[in-house]
Amino acid sequence: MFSSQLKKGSIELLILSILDDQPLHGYEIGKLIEFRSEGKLNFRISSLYPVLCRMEEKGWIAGRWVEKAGQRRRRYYRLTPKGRRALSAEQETWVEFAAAVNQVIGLSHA
Amino acid sequence: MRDWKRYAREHLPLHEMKGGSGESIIEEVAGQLEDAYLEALERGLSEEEAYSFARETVGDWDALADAIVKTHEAETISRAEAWVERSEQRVMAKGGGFAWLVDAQRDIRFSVRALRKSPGFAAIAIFTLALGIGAVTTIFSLVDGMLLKPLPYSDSEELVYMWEKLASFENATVAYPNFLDWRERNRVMNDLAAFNDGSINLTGVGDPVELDMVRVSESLFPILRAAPLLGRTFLPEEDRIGAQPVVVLTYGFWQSRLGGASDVVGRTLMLDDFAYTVVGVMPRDFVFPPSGQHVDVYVPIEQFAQRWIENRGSHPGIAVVGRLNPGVSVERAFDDMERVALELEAEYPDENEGSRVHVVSLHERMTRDSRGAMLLLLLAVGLLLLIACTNVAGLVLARGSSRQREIAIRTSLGASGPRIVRLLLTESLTLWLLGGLLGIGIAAFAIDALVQLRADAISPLFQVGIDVRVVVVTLAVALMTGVLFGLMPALRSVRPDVVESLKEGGRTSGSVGRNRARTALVVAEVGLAVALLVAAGLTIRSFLKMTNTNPGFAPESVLSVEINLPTARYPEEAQRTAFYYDLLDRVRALPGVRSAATSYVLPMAPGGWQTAYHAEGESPEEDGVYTFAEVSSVSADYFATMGIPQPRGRDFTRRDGEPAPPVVIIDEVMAQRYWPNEDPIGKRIKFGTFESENEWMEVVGVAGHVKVNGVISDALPQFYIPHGQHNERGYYLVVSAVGDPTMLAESIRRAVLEIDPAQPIASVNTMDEYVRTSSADDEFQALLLGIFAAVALVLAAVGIYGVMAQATAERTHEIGVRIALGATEQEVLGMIVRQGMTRVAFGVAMGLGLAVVIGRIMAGSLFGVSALDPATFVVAPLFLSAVALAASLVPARRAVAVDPVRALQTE
Repeated sequence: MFSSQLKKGSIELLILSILDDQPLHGYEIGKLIEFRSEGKLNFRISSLYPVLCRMEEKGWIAGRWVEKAGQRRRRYYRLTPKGRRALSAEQETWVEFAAAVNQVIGLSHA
Repeated sequence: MRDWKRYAREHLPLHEMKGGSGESIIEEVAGQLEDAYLEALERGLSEEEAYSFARETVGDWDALADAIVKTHEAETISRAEAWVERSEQRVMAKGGGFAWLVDAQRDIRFSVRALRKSPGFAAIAIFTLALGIGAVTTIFSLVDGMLLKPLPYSDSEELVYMWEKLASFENATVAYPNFLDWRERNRVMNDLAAFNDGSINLTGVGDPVELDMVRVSESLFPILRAAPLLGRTFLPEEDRIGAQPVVVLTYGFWQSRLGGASDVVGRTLMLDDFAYTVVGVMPRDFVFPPSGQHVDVYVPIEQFAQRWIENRGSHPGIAVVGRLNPGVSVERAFDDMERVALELEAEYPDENEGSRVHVVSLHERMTRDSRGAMLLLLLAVGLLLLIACTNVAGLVLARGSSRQREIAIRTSLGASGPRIVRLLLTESLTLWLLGGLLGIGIAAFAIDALVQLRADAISPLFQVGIDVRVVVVTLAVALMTGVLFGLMPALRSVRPDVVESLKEGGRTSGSVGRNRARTALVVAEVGLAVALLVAAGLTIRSFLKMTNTNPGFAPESVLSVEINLPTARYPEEAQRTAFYYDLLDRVRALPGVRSAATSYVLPMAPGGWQTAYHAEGESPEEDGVYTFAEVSSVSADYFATMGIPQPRGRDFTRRDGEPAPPVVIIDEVMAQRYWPNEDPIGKRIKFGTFESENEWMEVVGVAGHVKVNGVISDALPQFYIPHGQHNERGYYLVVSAVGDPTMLAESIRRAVLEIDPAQPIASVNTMDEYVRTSSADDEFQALLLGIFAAVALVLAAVGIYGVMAQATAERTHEIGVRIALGATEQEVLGMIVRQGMTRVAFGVAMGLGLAVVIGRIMAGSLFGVSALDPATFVVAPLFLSAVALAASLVPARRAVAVDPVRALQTE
């Protein structure tokens, strides 16, 4: 639907936003992005998973193995305080960026 | 149920990731696959459809694996960097001046971790370095102990050693009256002491035994500032002719013979049948003479000086030590002694014409024989170390090219060039330091072995071993070479373009720079190895020449025993002659004895007798320049027993005694010198000069020339006089045995005791042993250099192989292209080998240049081999080239065996 370049540029912001409400495991993150975008944004594991790794390494999210009765264990990711700060910064940047782009392409009424 | 874990594991090659994180990632990815699969099933898809749906959720497996690995590497590195930064900040915060130390410690910990990741590389590198550094440490500890450390006498740098130089003899021992005058007239020395060695028979304490004695001036102990352990040393009035006999014991003798009795001072010992009062015992660590020869007792020298004190022409083996006044240099002392010598020459022109004094520091005198050999060995191990370092530098370089990705990642994470160089350099230094530590361990063993091997040649005065100095120098050498050889690969590693290396599938093309570095390594390695090989070749050839040179006698199956008759019990010459003749009769009758004889001196054994002589018909000597010869007094059968050929004339007999006309047997050198075209039998020579009034001695026979001082030294002409006409109190008894000569020692001892129950025998040795000892230094040198050269050869071969293998492997692609384009295997093989051998040729040229320089240094110590010995200079490089050829053929063959299609696919 969207070019992979376009998707790549926003994926971290998407994950941060999704995880803002609740801790999720990897598959749920992908599903939720797809669901909220009404199927317009979907990521394969090969694109999503390394980003999770990278974000965890940056300390924005933290992963933890959780075992629930009768289920195999899953790795749940939650936002860290650092991630929360990153989220608001990314949101701001995104809004500014979108506004700037809109302004340039003439969709803005500013 | 599908095994998604297995499916994920098969598609994600993460097994190289450490710490089980690979497994955890696989589990997580498998989980996601399973979620997708289950969801698809729930939506009503068939198992097959669900399966392919799940698979599609992944996308590109390879990209995933790559991204994970990269993220993970970056994670590890950046975590480490963060830790570095934090600890740096901590150190800075403390403001300590030891920041660099903490820094270094951390870098080292890093390096150790990095090295543990490739244990094979680390082990080979560390072991190679340990060999090189261990060899250097071993030889350095010898050099340090023998050449660098001051002698363990207090203020030892003030001690000098003196001997005489005569008009016709460069090195002569000192005439006792000259010593007395030196002592009196010099203005530069605190005091002087004379000493010479001898033997004295001890009776009354167990079996009679011959003791090693050193006669010393009473001033000796004060000069050396050596205090006795018990009692006192000699008083000036005891060092006089006719004074009460007194003796100072060495610790060893006191312990072994007298059981360390505490009441030994004041006791009397029967020495040569005189009662000597023990006045003192020296401490255990007291060593004199500095050569470290075995000593039992010290006696005052002048008590023995009857025969010397009026005779300035007699040089009875005396050497002199002195202590310079503070601030006086050896040069000034030499000048002052020159003045004294000139005065004495003017006063005693007959004996002292042309006589001068050698003055050198005691330390220099003790080390001058070994200095050249030691420095050559040091040079050799230096070359060996350089070869080892070159090898490891090659290894590090090769490793660097396989680590370029890691380096690129570090760089992309913001590590600066200097920071990476520092890290890589620390890694090298860690290798070198570990190599150094292991090297010290190796050296500890090697030094023990060497000292054991040379126990009789290394004076106990020299403290050879691993001490703080040696360790410090070793580690300094390790660090220095580590920086020197670690810097090149480190610098080379940061150069390559970051982007290029990060690119997926980036083929590591042999960059020009790396190739150049490699060429330098091969050239250096070959060059150093050739130089070392030539040095070893020259030494070994010289040694072989030496052992193959006929010494002029046949040492096999000959036993020698020293017998010294004390003058107290044998005051008359006739008594002594009777003793020896009786002994000869008894020994000749022993079973297993082929023949027996006596001789005053033996070739290659300690002692010697050189004298001025005059051949009848020669012109008078001028300017005090006399003609000298080696002399011995021998009994009948001496030549037969020693296997010395006697081409002309007759042997001595017992009829050649006192009343008979004096006779002499000369050697071929003397015969050739004076009577080249005549029969020398019937010609006459005499002791002394043209003017001397000694009796003429008639030549009755000619014997072969004997290398008396070992085969290296050119011996003087020789002549022999009959035992019956020249009588000494001490003789060697030589016995030629039918079987093993050492079996005869006991029966000879019994034969002596049958004649005189108080007479000991000494110095029981085979002639073979004397011969071996005479070339022991050279054997030692040849052995060590041989070992070093062998190690160098192996290291060089391994190094060349490594470099060639790496270079060839990097060209696999190119080789594939060439073969695909129709080049034959031979052509490709030729190309690779040619490239390798061109480097080798450069190395050989460099090595030969170096070898010429080393050869020049060695020239003086070579025997029968030119310093530019063509055989060695041709064989050594050929040998090395052959090894190098083999080392480059192996990877070359492997390269051409590669299937061109696969080679092209390695892209």
